[in-house]
Amino acid sequence: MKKYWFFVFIIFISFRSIGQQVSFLNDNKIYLDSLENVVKTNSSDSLRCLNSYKLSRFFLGTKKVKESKAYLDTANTLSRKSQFLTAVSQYYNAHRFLENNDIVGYEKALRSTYNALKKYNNRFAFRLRVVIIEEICIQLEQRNNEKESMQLLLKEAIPLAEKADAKEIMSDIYLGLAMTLMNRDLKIERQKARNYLKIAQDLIEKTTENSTTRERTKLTIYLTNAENETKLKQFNNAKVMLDKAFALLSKYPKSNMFNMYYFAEGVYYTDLNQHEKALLSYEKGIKSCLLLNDQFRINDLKNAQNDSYFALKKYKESKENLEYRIKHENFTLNRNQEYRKLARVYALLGDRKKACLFYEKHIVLNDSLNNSNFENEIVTLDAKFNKVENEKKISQLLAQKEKSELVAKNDKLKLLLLGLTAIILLISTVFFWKYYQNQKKLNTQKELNFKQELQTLESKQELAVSNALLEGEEVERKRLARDLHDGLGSMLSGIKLYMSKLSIDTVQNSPVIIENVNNQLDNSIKELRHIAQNMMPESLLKLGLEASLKDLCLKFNSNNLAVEFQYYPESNQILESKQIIIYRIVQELIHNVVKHAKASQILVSCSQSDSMFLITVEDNGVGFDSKKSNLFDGMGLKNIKNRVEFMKGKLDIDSQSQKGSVFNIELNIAN
Amino acid sequence: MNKPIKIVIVDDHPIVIEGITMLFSNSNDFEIVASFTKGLDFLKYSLINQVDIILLDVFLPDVNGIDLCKTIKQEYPKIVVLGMSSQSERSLVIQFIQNGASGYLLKNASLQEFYDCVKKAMAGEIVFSNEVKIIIGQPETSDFKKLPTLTTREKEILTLLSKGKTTQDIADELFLSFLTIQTHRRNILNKLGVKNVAELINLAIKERLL
Repeated sequence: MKKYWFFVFIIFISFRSIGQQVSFLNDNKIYLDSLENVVKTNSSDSLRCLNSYKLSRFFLGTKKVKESKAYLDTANTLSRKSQFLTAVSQYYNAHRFLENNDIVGYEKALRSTYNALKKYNNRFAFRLRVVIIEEICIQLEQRNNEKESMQLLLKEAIPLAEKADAKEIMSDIYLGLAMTLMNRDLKIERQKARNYLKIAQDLIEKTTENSTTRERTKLTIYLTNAENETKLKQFNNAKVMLDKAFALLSKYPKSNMFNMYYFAEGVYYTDLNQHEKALLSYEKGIKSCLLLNDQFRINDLKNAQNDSYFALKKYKESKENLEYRIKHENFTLNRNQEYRKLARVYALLGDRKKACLFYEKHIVLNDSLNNSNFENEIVTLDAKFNKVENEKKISQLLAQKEKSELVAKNDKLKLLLLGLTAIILLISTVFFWKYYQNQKKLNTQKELNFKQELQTLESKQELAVSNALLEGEEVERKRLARDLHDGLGSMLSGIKLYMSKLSIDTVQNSPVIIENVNNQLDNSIKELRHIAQNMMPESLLKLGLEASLKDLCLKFNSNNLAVEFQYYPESNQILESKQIIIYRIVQELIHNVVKHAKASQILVSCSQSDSMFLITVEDNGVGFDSKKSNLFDGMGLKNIKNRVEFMKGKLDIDSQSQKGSVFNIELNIAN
Repeated sequence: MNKPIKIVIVDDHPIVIEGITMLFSNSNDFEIVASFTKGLDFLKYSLINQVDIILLDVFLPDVNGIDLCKTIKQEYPKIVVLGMSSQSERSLVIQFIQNGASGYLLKNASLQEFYDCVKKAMAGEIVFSNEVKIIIGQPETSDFKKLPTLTTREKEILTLLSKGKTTQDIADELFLSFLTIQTHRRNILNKLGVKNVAELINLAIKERLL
């Protein structure tokens, strides 16, 4: 693999004129002459400048450093006159970084040139930009960043080449892509590479551009294709390609690219297991290299040759081959391999001593290589560690940032939530307030209605009570009329009869008659007094409720009936109209007891608080059923009930047969 | 022969004045010096200092006879006042006597009764016509009873109080208002002449009211 990579690397570099040796098909003299001619004779400074740069680069490729430097200086002086040329100069001067092994600076310079050239829409700028991309890609590939390299080529370089309408350059790019893919030596990628190579081949074969490098590129494509087909075991295709390459090469017998052809042919034969033929090819390649004094390629070819020796078990030749290479090898890594192989060859040849010697050399070199590898690894690891640390820091910072962002977000969310809650609260408060107001209104309305209803009811009740009272009064009047008519009336009628008898009769009987009349008059007066007192007791008007009630009780007090009267007044004066009603109630109650109860004791207790008048009348008489429904049918109790209701009071009757009766009455005396 | 007793009659009914004047007209011991239908007119009588006795109707249109009696006795203590009425209510009679009257007559009293009462009153006695005597003679229960009787409800409340119930408890139990029970409570204390419930319970136990 490694070996192959070198091969690719060399080719790659070679045609891009950056590597140590520039490949050429023809004598470059024509190309050089034309450029030098322009530099010397052309009146345009910019053309002279550009050509000077090209010459500088050419001489760098052919290792003529002095000439290269001279032309570079010339070009630099010329370039100062134009911005475009200044930008171009950056590219040609960037190579200095490579001389100082400053790869980073080199890449930086390339990229800044690339950006500076973006402004210019001429074909030269486009081409230069493609070249710059290709060089950046080489750097990327050396860092094993093939993916990015391919991306750059596909997305930047190809469109640019299209713009520049440079088929050869495009072909070159596709070739580069194919080589990158082949680098990994995987079948799938080689197949992809085959597609790219086909495009590259098509493009280069179709191009009509007159270019010094066209044929060279074509050859490189053929050889690369042959190589790829060989590795894909498509030997027929490979052979076609090799033939095409040979046909092309034969036009340029002085070319230094024969060795490449022979190398490819050798590989082709090796893979076909035709080692004798392969050896022949390699030998031809080496010869051609010796002519051009290209040690680098000789090593390559010899390396490939050695495998064939091994395959043919030509150990002696292999030994000589390896010893030659050890002598001429510059790469320690390769030399290490060679020591090992040589040790093996000696072992196979039976020279154990030499085998041991070279094996030891291999081990020593290997150890030192490993050490350096180890150191490199340590450095790499250190770098990695640092990178990881940095990444860790970055991730920490990121996490912190995220955290703070989260906190901020949370805060925001909280605030939002708070705000929302506040708004909801406000709304609900307003809602409830409104609701409350409405309810209040409704309640007030209801209350008003209720009050009105109550008032209506009350007035109805009052009306009913008043009616009842009026009715009661009517009944009272009837009784009074009967009393007057039956009692007083009849007595007065009697007196009148006596008196008429007196006027007619003789005077003899007059004393008796007068006596009778006198008695009758006495009775009449008593009757009248009785009636009047019943109607309205004088003491009530003159001395108040207590005195009149006391008189009332005393009037009924006798040997057979003890009437106890208790009165606990308060300073509040009761309206006379109410006093009369109270008096009537008590009067009626006592009348009832006297009339019906056959009691021996009556207790009349009256008391007064702020707005309340309590009447209790108890007796020990025969009692009645206070629960019966027609209790208030009789005139007496009905009157009492009406009067109590009129006074907005309560009537409570408790009586059982043979257990006396209790009347508790509460009256409202508030004015 | 003594000077006749000078009598003034105050009554709103002229016919009563006439009747009584007629009643005394045949006697030399009595002289009706003046008569008034209004109480306040009497107080303006010029010869009021010479009046010995006044027959005063209790019910007058302008002034209460009972109050007038008091005024007369305060200003002219020498004048003997006899109440006179067609009504015979005990409290009226008692109040009259308390205001300084020397007696109380019913208007339908006989001639003899009038004579006797006036004479006895002039002699300093307290006099009543026969019917009034009967009314006055009625015993007043509280007069000789030591403790007033408690009503059934009051007894209930007393029992509950003795069990330590509050006024509200009792109101709830008897389905009565707080105010009613409060009034009853006060009445019980008043009736039994005690100051508080403790004293009440003490008395109730002593008198076996519980």
